[in-house]
Amino acid sequence: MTDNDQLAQRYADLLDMDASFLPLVGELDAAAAPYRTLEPPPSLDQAIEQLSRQRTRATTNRPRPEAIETEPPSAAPAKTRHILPERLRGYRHQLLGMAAAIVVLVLFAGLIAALLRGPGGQDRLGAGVTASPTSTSQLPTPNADGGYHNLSLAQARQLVAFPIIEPNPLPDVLRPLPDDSVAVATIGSPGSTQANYVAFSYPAQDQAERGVTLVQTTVQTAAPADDGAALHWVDQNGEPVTVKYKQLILNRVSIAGVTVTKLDTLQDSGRVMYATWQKDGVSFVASSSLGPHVTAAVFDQFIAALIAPGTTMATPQATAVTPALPHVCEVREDSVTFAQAQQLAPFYITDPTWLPSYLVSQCVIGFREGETPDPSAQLLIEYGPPDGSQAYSVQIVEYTENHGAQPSGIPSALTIAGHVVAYSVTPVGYGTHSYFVWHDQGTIFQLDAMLGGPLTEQDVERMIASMLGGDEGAAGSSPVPTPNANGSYINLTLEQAQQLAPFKIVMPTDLPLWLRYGGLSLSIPPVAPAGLAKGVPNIANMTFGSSDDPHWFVAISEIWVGAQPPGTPSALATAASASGTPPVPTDHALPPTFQIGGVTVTKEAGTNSAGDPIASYEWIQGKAKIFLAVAHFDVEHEPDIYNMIASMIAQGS
Amino acid sequence: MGRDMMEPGSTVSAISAEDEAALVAAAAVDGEAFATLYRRYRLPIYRYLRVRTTSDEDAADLVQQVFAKAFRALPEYEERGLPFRAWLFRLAQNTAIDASRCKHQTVPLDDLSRAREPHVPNEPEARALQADALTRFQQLIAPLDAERRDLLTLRFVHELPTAEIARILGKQDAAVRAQLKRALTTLKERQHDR
Repeated sequence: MTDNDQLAQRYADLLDMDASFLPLVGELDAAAAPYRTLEPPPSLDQAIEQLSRQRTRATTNRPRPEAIETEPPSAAPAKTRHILPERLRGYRHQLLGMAAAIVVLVLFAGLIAALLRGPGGQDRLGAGVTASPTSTSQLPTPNADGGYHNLSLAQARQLVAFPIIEPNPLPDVLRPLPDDSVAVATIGSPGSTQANYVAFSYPAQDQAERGVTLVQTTVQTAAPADDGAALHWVDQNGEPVTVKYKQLILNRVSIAGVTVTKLDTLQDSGRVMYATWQKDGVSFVASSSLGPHVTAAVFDQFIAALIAPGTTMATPQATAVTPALPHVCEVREDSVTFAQAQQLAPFYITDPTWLPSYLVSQCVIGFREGETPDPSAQLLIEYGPPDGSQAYSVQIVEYTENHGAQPSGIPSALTIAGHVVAYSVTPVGYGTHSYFVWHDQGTIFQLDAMLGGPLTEQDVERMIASMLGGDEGAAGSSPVPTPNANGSYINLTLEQAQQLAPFKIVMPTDLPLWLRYGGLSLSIPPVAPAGLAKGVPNIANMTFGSSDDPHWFVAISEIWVGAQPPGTPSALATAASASGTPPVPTDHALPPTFQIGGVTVTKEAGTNSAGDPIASYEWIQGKAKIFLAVAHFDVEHEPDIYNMIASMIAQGS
Repeated sequence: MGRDMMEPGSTVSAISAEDEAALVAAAAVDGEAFATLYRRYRLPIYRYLRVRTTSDEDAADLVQQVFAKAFRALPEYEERGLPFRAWLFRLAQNTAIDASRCKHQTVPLDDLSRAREPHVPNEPEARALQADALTRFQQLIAPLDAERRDLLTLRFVHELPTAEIARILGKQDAAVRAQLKRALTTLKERQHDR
């Protein structure tokens, strides 16, 4: 067999399309050959092996109940359990052994803690709760206000009139209550022999973090009250405390019939959460500075373990008074939902409240560093075309000012919604890369936009304005467009065009990889047709060209035709959108008339004046007749053309 | 140790889809299974990313990132119509795109820093020859845009059939074939013009 025969066999799919590709295919094949024998550096293997060992360690440290069960992991079909059976069995045995060891360790740690009395973390509420060696049944001397510090829980129970509740179970990232660390006070009742206030803190296992402080009291003013800029309460000495916040989200949740008010604040020190509720006449206040381990989810578990002891209640269903996050997004394999991310992030996630219709949140929200987020985590949110392609995209990275510097050296700046936004733009091989940096409310934002398709810089600026709480309609540097001397509006955004045109403008969202959006313009007719006011544009034109072949382009004209002609299906998009991706013709040759989603499309093929093959497609959609023309037409392109048309029809009228 | 049966034109040994699913599931919780998964896909991912980068060092760096992402994402991974290999390639594609436009944001993982040492042959002459050989393919596909370069990389370096390329890119098989034809036509015309 000759070399050419071998090539013909290996690349039959390409050479069947055009046999004249053979020399080029041979050249590409030869040039690609060195890559096929390329080996990665051995150090890479070592690094990944090290990463793999982390998984084993991480699993060892945090045994996952689902891994201990005898069922195979979820992605594995049941009939394939034989794969790696010894390893999985061995793994389960290891975990069971480790779980037993952990029980022993926890008991031992409790003993050690009792001996060492390590200092616990504190939050502002209940501050002053410290450990000291007074674990006797004899009560220590009260202070001048009649309060006590450094009591054991048993001692505290002798002093207060209500039962003191402890969380059950205690979240495993918290340490048990240190001995002699409970504070008891009598607030607002001088001379009373019964205390009405008790406070104590559960330290975090990681000593770099604060734990959770818990107050139980019959004093109503000990619970934080919000005045729109700060929280106020009285401390164990009856003194007023004021803590200013930068942002606050208030939620109310119901746990086992108890209404819990959650105050999620951003303060100078970071994100601090408070939860207050009442049960059996006692007010409870829990508070925590969130950290890498003591997350919002842990805080929720702590609350649930107090209200409904013995449960490991997941995050309760929230009935948000203030919606924290506006967008629903599709979770990919490498992402988490906004709500999950907000549980983990040490700051508030902000995402645009305005998005152009051709940009959707792909919900690629991840933390750039580490398997678990930490205070320096950089949150990443991605947006892209509805079809999931990479034709254009926006990435937003968010992190706190406390844990990262704002990038500097960016050449220019814009003012958007009253904020200075550093800005740079770089042409790249297949589009334009725009980069924006700003900070707001203690968070640094970096936005990377790969402009292309219908996504313009004006759109991105409007997104930023919506994140900054600006007037979305007047956001960014997008002025009100005016027509030129020929009565045409040039280079409009889709949103701008849509505001001017008397019909719905549809733009293909499923673009072939090599087509780039060229621009959108509107034309005002010299004489207004019947039914159309003078000066109102009646034609929308858009172009799509190839970045490396000037002969190949697609032009779309959408012309207002007034009311929908009789016989046109009223539910244009039903069939196309219901089935998701419509079927693509397999023979690459569409007939002169075909239907997509109940819409009849007429095709005409021919040549232009230069003799180049062209084709046009025509259909009615709502109040417009749409023409899609392809220059340098090749029947091989029809699957892509079909997809473009289908993506337009699916948008309805 | 005997070699596994290889898939046509592939560096990945052939196992059944079910066995692969079990391996992927095990890798979500078991470091050794993850290492096995890495060994299974290290070559195709490295070679894919090597075409998109200018040095062994950069490619190794991106491979680290891809597997670090996979490492984090695997516990949540579910096969939803996208086979694991296609998912991993897509992860690699996204990582390469991220790197090309956000180099200032890339945060290396400290624990993987050792892998940053470039892997080059010791002999300077051999090193130069290898570099030349590797740049030839990049030069050939340079006139195309990034996405079409990707197509040709997957077809010629990885020798993947168009159906699998379509799965990786989330496109129709017919569309990928049309795009390949368009890419070859463009290159042929460029060669003819010279």
